[in-house]
Amino acid sequence: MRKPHRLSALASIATIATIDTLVATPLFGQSKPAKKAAAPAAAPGANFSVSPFGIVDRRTSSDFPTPRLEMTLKLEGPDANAVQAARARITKAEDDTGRNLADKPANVAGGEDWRESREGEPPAPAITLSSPTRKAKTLAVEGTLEAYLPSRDPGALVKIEKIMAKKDKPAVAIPALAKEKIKLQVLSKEVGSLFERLFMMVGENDLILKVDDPGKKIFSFGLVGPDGAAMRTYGTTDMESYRILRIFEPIPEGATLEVRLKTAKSFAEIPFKLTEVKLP
Amino acid sequence: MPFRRGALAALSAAFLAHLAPLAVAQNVKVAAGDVEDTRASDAGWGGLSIELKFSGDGVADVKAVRVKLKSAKDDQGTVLYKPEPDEKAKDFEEFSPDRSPKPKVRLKSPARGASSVDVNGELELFVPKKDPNTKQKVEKFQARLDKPISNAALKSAKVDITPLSAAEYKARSAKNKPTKEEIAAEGKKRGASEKEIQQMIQMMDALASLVAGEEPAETSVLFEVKDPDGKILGLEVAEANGNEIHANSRSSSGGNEKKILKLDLTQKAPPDASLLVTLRTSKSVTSIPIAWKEVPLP
Repeated sequence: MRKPHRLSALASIATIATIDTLVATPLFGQSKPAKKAAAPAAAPGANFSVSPFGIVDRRTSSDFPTPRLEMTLKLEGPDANAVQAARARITKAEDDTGRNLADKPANVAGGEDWRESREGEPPAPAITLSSPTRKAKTLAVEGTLEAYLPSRDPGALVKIEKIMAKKDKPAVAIPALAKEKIKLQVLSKEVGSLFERLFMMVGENDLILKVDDPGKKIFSFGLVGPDGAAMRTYGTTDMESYRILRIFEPIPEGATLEVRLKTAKSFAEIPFKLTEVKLP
Repeated sequence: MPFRRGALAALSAAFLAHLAPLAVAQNVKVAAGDVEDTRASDAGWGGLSIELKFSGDGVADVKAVRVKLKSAKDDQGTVLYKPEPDEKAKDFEEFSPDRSPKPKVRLKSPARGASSVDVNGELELFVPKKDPNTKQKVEKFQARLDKPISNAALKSAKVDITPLSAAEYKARSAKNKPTKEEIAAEGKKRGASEKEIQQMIQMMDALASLVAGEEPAETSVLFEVKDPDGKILGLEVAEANGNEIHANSRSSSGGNEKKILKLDLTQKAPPDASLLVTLRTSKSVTSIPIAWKEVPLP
């Protein structure tokens, strides 16, 4: 059981909201495929629930910033901690006066961005909706949660041990990466002025990778310290074929780079329906 | 009659000159502008903000403003402003008509079902034109580093400015850094969890290491400033001929009681450079009322 977060002053919401889908429903072969076909067809059997976590209703009298409602979702259940990243697609959203809140194009109304897990906590995907009327007291949302669970497929996780020893050497030779035609090199900041623009953005502890991934098979990267604990990062910056992993502390010599690959078994889709979600 | 016309013109000019400060104050009006109501399920944040919309001929002379609220409530009777028992007056914020974002009145979130709010208070306007004593010039301020500047106007405003050497700047910056115990105490006061306090301490360490890595440059001028009443509204460096040397960036740590300040100038300040201090004086500040009724909520 996760320790309740102080920010989740949504105890009231969580109890009021009716979660129709508490357990993942196998969608493979049943539902239409994801519109943004970045993820392969979903694998069945993921067991976690989706509930509201936090709501911010930004109401403005002017056009800028655009009035909108942002809702963060919480994943709970046996498989929640195995979810590396998640995002939500909204199919229906309205307030209790009947106003349609999903009337924006999908890239505005849905949560197109994948949210990664942090510090051992499941990811908290966010959705953006139109602002409900002032008179509304609750809202209802229906949609599908896409989840990436690399631990469910051994082929989805490629580990490159002692990554720092591979700095400024030829591309890493790993059969699992070669199979996907992925070439990966670790570069140092001192490589030269050729990459001046890139290196101006690089922090002292960051890891610079040159990545050739023609099939776009890489989902994300992670770093694990010699003690097996995940190293804290504050995001990844992509620039052309370079990826900069932002790291808070110096990377130890024995650190391992995890390359997370997109495979059919590593994705799951969970339909969800939240009703009577109390508005702030 | 040329004589009579001339005398009248002179009289009118004298009369207008006498009235000028009053006119500056009276030619500024403020109304409620854009409204933003950020409603969050986490009661710890969000709130209502109402932009101040200025009009009138005197607006161009206003260089800083401060809102002093008296009361605010929505049409359902929810109180949106309640002064804290130990509430100190806010600092003035810099102002110019084209500056963005514009000054705002900040209130608690009204009831979801409310449709309008009433706000009462006053707006203080800093108009330096009204008092020549707002501008203080300290010549050759770098001649006596690490010693407080001696100036009667600064003293009467309870302002203490000490130009610092690089070594003293570093020493005082380190001393100014809050201790882990102070951060923990402040966190507990604000109801933060142990985890959040630890995160805060880590963040402070990271920020401190960033600042520590930021050595003063040759073009930096460094100060310790004590200004408990927030009277300083400008601090600039000028060449001996009066030309201002622009500061590309300003960084500071601490609060009004004691602040360590670094100005990074576009060029090295010559030894005879002056320090220009803009001070808020009683004559330079005027007030206009805020009495807004039924401001519609979005």
